[in-house]
Amino acid sequence: MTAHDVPSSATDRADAPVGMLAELTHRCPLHCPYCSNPLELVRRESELTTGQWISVLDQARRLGVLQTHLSGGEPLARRDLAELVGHASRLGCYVSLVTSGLGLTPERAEELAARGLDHVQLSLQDSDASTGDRVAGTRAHHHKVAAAAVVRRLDLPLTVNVVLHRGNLDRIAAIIRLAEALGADRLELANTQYYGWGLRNRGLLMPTRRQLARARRVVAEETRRLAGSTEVVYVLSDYYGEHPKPCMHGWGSRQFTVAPNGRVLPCPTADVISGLPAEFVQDRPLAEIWYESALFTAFRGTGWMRDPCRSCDRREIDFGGCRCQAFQLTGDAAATDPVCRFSPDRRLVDLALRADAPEDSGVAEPTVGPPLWRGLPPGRVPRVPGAAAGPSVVDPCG
Amino acid sequence: MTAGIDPAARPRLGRGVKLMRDESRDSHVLLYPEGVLLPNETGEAVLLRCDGNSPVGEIVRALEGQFDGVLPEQILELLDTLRGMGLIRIDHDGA
Repeated sequence: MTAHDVPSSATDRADAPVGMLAELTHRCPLHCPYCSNPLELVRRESELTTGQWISVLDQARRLGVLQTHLSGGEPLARRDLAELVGHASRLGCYVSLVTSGLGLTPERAEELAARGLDHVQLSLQDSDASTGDRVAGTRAHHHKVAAAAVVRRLDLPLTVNVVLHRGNLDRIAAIIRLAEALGADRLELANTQYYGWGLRNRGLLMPTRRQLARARRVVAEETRRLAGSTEVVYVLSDYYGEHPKPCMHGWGSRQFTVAPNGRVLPCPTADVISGLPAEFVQDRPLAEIWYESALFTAFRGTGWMRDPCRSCDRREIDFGGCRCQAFQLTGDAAATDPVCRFSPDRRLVDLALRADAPEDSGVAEPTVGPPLWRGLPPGRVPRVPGAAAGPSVVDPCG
Repeated sequence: MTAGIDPAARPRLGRGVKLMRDESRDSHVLLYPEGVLLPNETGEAVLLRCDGNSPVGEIVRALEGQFDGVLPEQILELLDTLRGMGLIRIDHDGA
């Protein structure tokens, strides 16, 4: 069976997907307060079995998927990771591991490489252990440095990904130098986007304009200096733009996400939109979900748009922006993304920028209460092993 | 820019880049760490020759013969674009 087996009326409206983000587990030793996982994390006992993931990979490849990002949580928490890597690779997929680096021992990395792993994307929280571990909520930094060395020894391409926020932007030069020293082929410097955990902690994470202006200069200089050795990709939060980002290149256009419990979503955060029909790989063939489900056709193309999107020259450029953001800020997933200057709700973003971005006094003062740590209930604080005494209040950005 | 490509240089795929036959699309596809390139027919023919053995001059001659109306400048431009994206390397003497 191929993607061409589905009804032609459906294929006329949608291309085959090229990428799949497989969230193998939501288990993760880190507690980053900007985690892209949903607020409601899938528990271990609800995770798909090895056999079910194998079937997902088979169906995805037949559907046209060429890129598989094996992610989490921390995908190394799955004991069957090597088997899944091997299967995806045998199917002809390009296989990327998206990891915190915790658990990437030389033995484990060698096995993954032998099974056909193509690329490793390693997260980094900051330029040094004390600040990095504070954001991760655990001792993570030195494991990451060691993991990068393991990846380099195996000669796998290495992408280092750093989420930027008020607490680490001032060290961006040191962060870039660390990524260079780790031998990154590619460095993604992504300012926090405010969904899920990041939205809940927006008041702590949002940088000042002065920080952003300085970071932009540093990144420009460093990008030039590193040309030819490390590719630097810098992503600003869309709050600062006047047009929305072309989120996922359009809903149900190129890629999809499979959550640890088999739920299929157009993007990793789409579960924030309440009222969307839930689709599970256990219940329905993936091809049917992609081409025919109410979930994937809801905002596909431009037919769902209202004004100002419907009559906008940019509707095929940014596809109305992000549905999750529209829902989170306005309560209506079919609204124009409020970051757009043409959105009637743009004031919501401007208000957030005023309320949550601290004054450029040079001293970053959080405007809200303590952080919500990923995977912990409100008020709970991660204990950092190795610290003499657990801190009573931990500010990840302090 | 394209003037910088030596006809004797032998292009090869970049680090972490794979060219693969995709039966579901009936075409070769170029896979790399953060993306997928679905080349057109000319692009596919060029990429298949980026094997580290074929000199640029030979690639241009072969494609001129294979496709009507394809100009050498267009092929050099394509090679230059692919090089700029890090998808191919153009080394001298295939070294």
